Amino acid sequence: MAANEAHLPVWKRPLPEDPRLARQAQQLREEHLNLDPRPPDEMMETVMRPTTRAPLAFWLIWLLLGGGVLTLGIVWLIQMIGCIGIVGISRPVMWAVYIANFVYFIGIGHAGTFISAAFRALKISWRGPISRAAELVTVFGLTTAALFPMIHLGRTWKGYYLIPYPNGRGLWPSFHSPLVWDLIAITTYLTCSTLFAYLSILPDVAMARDRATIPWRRRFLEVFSLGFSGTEGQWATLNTALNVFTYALIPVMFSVHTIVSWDFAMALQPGWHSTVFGPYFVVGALFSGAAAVIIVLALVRKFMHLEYFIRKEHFNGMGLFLLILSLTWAYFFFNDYLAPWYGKAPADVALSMRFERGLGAPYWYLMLFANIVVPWSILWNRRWRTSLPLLLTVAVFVNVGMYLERINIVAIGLGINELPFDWGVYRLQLPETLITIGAFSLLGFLFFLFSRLLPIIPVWEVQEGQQEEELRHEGAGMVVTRGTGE
Amino acid sequence: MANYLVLGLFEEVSSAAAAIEGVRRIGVPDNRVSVMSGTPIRSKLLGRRPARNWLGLMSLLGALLGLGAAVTLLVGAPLLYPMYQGGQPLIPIPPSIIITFELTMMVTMWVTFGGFWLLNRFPRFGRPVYDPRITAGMIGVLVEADEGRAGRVVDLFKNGNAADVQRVVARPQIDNRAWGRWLAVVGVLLGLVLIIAPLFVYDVIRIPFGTQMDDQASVPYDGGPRLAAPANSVPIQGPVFVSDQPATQPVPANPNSLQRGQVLFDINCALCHGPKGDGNGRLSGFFTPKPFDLTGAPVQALSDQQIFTVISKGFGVMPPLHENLDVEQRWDVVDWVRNLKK
Repeated sequence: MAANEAHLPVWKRPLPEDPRLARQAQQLREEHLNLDPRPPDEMMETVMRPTTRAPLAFWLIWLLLGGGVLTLGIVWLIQMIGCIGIVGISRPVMWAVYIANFVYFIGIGHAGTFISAAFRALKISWRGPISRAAELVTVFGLTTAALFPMIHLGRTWKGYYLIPYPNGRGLWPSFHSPLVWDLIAITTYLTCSTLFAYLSILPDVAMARDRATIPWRRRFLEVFSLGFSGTEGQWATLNTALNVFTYALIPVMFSVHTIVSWDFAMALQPGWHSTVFGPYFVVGALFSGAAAVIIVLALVRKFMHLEYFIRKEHFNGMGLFLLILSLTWAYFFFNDYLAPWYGKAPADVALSMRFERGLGAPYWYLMLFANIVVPWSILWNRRWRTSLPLLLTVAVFVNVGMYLERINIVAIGLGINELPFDWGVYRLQLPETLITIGAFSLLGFLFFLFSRLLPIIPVWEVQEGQQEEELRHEGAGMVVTRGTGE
Repeated sequence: MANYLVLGLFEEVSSAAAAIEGVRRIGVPDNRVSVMSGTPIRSKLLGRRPARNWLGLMSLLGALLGLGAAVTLLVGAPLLYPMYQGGQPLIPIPPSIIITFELTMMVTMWVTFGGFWLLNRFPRFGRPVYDPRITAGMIGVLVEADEGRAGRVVDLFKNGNAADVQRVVARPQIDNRAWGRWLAVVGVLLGLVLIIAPLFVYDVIRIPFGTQMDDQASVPYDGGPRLAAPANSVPIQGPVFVSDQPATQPVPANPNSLQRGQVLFDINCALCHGPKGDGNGRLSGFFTPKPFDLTGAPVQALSDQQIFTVISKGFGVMPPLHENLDVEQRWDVVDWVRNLKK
């Protein structure tokens, strides 16, 4: 029997006969996705089933999100016609919610690439099923973020002034300006993250294409898969391409949020002009992004019934990752806080007063509570961090906290500067509130759309991980990709 | 004689590897055999030499291209349109490092993606010999051979644990005409964009976008007609800059005004023009031409408003004094200057 068993696919191999060993093996299979393979057909079916059948609630929520997106469009149009004056920005707070949103959405786009690319580079074994969801957070987060500079422009149709090209005005965008660095960095990050996500989805699209039954869906997948058939050459080039993207995207990811921080740090504004801003922003971005990925994973697992793929080990890993990021964020925050506190420059003192005892206090203390107290008190315990409702609560708190951090830095902090006659307070108005709600709706809308069309779990990466695990145990000659006979 | 394509589907790596070895013994060269699978399988496991992969080289070329583009942009643009800013040199090094890094990475990844398409001839049209079971875990071995060898390959596959064997007449795997058509369409679209976009960019086609700046009425500071001031605004204070428009009211030359004028004159004017206004102030020796003799005919022939303008705006090396003296003070000084003639 032993010789034949080796020729069975792993998912058909019986448990050991010794009951104690069997129980151990059973437990390991329950814990680790890589040790619990299933037939590829069944996996793809699990992933694609929810895309074809959606409950009524799905469509209702989708409509609601669509309404949010429509609101964004309408309010934006009204703002274009009625001028930027209808929003709350006014001297000295000329950057407010739009820029905070921009930083926030760029930020949540960071964990996606980190989880997908850096975990890939580090060969972290459990990254398989979560990489797609993470990449999508990046792509959709960046898409949403890219709207905000255009919205913030007011005269959106003048947006092309940002693009460097020789023109009739006889001027080029100045490469001295952090805003131009930002434009180029975000263009790099957005386009390349999208291409990266597309590369890694190709084999799954091919797999879904071979199983699609609805004609229009099949046709769509045929076109989208480009005719990928899994030949050696295709796999080899795909592997090289993914490697190039992995190692190129990681430094780009770090550079993008550093450059976003330089939009602020290059200015001689109290509270902004800080050398620690680069890493502080990068860690903050990863922090909010990891929390956003956790939210997406939890929702996808629950509502698309993907309990097989997304397991406790993934939430455990993500929870630990979030805790480490929270500690790192606190470290950088303390650095950023201590130097001005010690220096006691008059404007810095005024700024701290506004946060500690002034009108910024509710937001400042809530930020500290959400970013430090909540994660630290819950995530240290393995049982708590693998409990989905608790982890989801933490992730939501972290996102609220990180959003408030951006609001504090941009909208509230900008009210204090070196000249007291020019101090002011930003007051939130209806248009930017609606546009912010619309932006969050857009993110959800795009996710819902994607979840109906394409596989949200990278099945081929899961299978690859399982086969590698198998190879590690059995040796080269024994790899069985599909069992002989029934 | 037509060639045949034989596709054998295997359920495990070892039997696929054995079949490939058998095909080699039949005398089919390695480049006529291709292997398809749903997950990547190392070529060595199949007993094949890894296919040559040019993509890494293409990425490197992409990196060089990006580097070149960045340097061209960063050096070329300031040379074409010099713009000094922020106390930085024309081509500042730290910002250039940032842009160079980003552009290099961007072009590297774009070229890698493009290379991935190009090397695999994506998108593939039509239906090559393929079986959906390949993405369900089967390994497909596709062999192109002439009629005699194809028969032997089919037998070999059938004896070698193949789950299924298909044989079809070989057509060109890649439909070059479809590819050509596709490239032509993309080329034409790209060309159209490249032609049409500059028409807008360089204002060949003008679109009358509404700008509030163009729509609002504007008047040059020395042009007319001057817009009516809002009802409860402070009255205009100043001489006649615009013909036929109301000027400021001169302050009558009463003793009070003259006294104020003398004090102000001693503070602001006497250092150059002299306490008596004859142009012999303590600093007058440092100027060529010397300060005007205010008591002389050329100055006294000027109208009050012209003198007011000279005090406000300066004249030659004389600095403007509108920041030192407000409007009424300037009229006081004008009164005092008039008084100097007597």
